[in-house]
Amino acid sequence: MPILEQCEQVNFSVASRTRQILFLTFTFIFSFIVFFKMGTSHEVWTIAVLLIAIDVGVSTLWSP
Amino acid sequence: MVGTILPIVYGERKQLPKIRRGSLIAYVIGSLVGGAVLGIVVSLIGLMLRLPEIGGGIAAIPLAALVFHAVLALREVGVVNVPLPQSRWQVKRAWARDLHPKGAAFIYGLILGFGVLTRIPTGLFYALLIWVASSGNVQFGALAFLLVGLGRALPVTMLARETTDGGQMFRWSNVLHRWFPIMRLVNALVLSGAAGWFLAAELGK
Repeated sequence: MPILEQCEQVNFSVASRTRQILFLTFTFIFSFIVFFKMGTSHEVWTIAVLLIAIDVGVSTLWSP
Repeated sequence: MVGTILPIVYGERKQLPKIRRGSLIAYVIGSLVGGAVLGIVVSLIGLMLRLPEIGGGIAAIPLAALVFHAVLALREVGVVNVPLPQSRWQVKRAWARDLHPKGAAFIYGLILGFGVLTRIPTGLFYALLIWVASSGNVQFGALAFLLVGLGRALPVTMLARETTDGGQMFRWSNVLHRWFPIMRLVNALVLSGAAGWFLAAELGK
């Protein structure tokens, strides 16, 4: 089946705002624990920024 | 953006596959160049404002950074409505009609790749601007925004391959519209994770 039709047939509903805030809180705490234990090295930060840069680029697909 | 770019690389008029591929390559090159130029400009502005000298970039002021990223994350999921500066200008569809297809595709890529001249759909873009400006490293800035350009060009490339007519283009637009809240949630999670990083940096001193 073509990718377009597969994408059209995917059914999902976005989590409620309360759940989204819970996800954010969990991510915040998880990230804090991981980086507090691991240390906030410059190398890790650099790699993270470069990966996030690709995500930012993909996100611009939704520009009007 | 899809509604503007896909007709360029696909061709509202019937184009030969060779021209179509050429337009796509021109768009990707334009996007990479535009992104790299933005990275260099932002890094140089950061150096002019002496942001890196504050003490190692944004990581030196983790509490302010933490609050900034937390607010951006909440903004992404619509909890707070903080207006951020952005241009409302849009690239002209007429360029596709008036210019040579490859030239138009390159200019679209260049302007959209530069990023700040058009609408900014995610708060993560602002965070990246500040990270790069405070890095004090022009090469890093160029690389980071070159990757933004790459991330911008890749989905368009894939969509162009999967799109054979205008009807499919509109169907893709509808699919992407449905996925918009997911994109914002993912970016909110990234911002939230960054906020956690800054708290760890502050308490780990």
